[in-house]
Amino acid sequence: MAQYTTAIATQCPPWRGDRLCSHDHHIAQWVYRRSRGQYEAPFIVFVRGHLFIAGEELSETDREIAIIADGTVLEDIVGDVGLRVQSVQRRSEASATIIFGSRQAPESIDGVDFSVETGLLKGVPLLSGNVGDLADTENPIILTGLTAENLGVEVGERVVARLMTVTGQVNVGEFTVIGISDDSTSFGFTSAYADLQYLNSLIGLEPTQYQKLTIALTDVRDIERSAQMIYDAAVARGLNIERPLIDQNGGESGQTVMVGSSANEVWEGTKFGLTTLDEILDLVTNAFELVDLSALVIFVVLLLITMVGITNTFRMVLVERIQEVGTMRAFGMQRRTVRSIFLWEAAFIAMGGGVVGIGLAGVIMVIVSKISLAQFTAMHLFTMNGFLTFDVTVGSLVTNVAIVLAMSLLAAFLPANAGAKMEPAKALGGHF
Amino acid sequence: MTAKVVTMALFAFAVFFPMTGYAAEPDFEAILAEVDGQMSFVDTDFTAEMTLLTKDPDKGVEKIVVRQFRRDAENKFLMLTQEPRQRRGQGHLRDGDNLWFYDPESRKFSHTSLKETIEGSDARSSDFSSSTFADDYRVTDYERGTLGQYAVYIVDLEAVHNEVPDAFVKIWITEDTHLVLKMESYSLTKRLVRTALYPSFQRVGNSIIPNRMIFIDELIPGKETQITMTKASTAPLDDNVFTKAFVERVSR
Repeated sequence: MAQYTTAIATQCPPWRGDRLCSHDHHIAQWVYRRSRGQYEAPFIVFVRGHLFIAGEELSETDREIAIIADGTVLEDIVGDVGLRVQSVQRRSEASATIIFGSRQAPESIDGVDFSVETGLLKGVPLLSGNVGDLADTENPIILTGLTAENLGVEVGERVVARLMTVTGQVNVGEFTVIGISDDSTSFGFTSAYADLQYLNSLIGLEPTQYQKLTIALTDVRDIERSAQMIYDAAVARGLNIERPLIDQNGGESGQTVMVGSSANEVWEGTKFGLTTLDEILDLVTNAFELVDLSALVIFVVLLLITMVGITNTFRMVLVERIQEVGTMRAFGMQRRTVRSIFLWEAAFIAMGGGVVGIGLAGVIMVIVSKISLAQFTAMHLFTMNGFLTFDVTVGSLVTNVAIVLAMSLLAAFLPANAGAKMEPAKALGGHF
Repeated sequence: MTAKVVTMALFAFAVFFPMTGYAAEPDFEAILAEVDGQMSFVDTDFTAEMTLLTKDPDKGVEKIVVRQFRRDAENKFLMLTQEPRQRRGQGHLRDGDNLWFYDPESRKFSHTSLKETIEGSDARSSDFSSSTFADDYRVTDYERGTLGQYAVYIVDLEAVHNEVPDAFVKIWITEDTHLVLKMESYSLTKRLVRTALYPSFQRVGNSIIPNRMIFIDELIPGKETQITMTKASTAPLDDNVFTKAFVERVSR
């Protein structure tokens, strides 16, 4: 998170609202203002937009095909509703197997109109290559670093892509690698970039067709308002449009609600699905919150198990000190005081253990954060530059120690209470 | 007399000339229908064990054993992975137009496609279902030739719809027995993607199906998959074999 905010501050202070700032910086502006978490930042830069409109049509055999055959009406709507738009991008995409020699690697390819998306070319961090060669290169592609490494391919070499058309037929194309992107900071959210028209020809679309429209706004505060304006205008013009993620999150009624299109649904023409960056990130956030919740549940279960151990331990302590308790009670010590002696003992042990645990955890975190996990692609979502990072705040430390303290007191309460209720005569007799 | 001789000669020519090999153009609609019929099990169920040996220049050799169940009359099939152990219980279940992949680890079914390859091999799900050349393709060109010692028709086919994985195929069909010995699959850009060889066949019930298949990946040098069929049977199968419940039960 810190590296993004630093880059923003030095290159394009967002609060200045400088319109000369590039599209990327306005996306980063959203990151800075919202501060939603470090795992969301690269995702936001990856999607490169705030509003996303995808299209689907039914084939002759009622198969769903991702396509916007004629986006004229849709693009007119975007222009007519008076949005403050920075850019509108047409994109197609395909899941391909990139083949180089005897090696193969899976890759997601985004079809991009390079003549329009000049910001993308400037913004993609390259390990090698020069996007200035774009115009002179036949069927150029910018591959991700991981794919290039797996294939052993370098800039200037030709690769073969095996992919499927929108109707599921096998097709093969060839690309020339003009650049290799640095995907080490992207948390796994990466794709290759190729010319939109060529990719369209490979996946069975016409040159003027595409699969989704990505809209970047000048002001990130306009996301929901802009989405609603587009939705209302599209409905007014009779377009078949839905906001598929709205109802899942308990949104407003009155929106067309279809949570995922099924093969059984039949419609005519193009069906559009409108989503916003906020809605997508809610899904990402929910996924991570689920992971956090699972970790919390495991933590609580472990604490409960530990509490049982603490209770038994204090019962043993009570048995060993039963005569002392009896003596203190015989001299007139109140039950409340007897109870508090045990509870204070439990509290000091818990806090001492908490401090030692924090110290030990700190040492372990330092050691683990030095271990490179870059070769594990499954870990990209959880690492930064291939290393685990830990977000430790004073608040979280205090909270965790407080939880441990509370659990210890709760566990020690029963034996403490039992000791406090003991009759002095019985205690002096050594009975418990 | 002369007229009689000429008439007799013409008659003999008409009778015997076709036998010289200069026959009328083959009826490929009928030939393809016969090919499909020979390789389908219209009246019976079919069960067999398939052993897939995939050779990948990067990953080495991998062996997969799959148990196959087919009921072509209802467009159903099931393939259950037996080996390797870590994939045991995985299944591909087709019921009409729906094809599901079952993962025993997650115990979930997910939609997949006949066009997808099996377990990273060069074989597809469609290779294990009934043959449908007559319905899915039309003949664009042909020539006569030989493949080894067999006289064959080399037929160029073009898909009539986009429900099949290959837009263009070329098949080598024996002239006498109408068996497909070889098939080349081409992409939409007419690039050779895969070559399938069927070096031997076996009669199972009323059908003749290849008991050995070799799929060669033409895009990756050295990558191929060999499939051997054993334990073939046309014994009737229980209806619940082609259900998700059955797949889940046997995968436990």
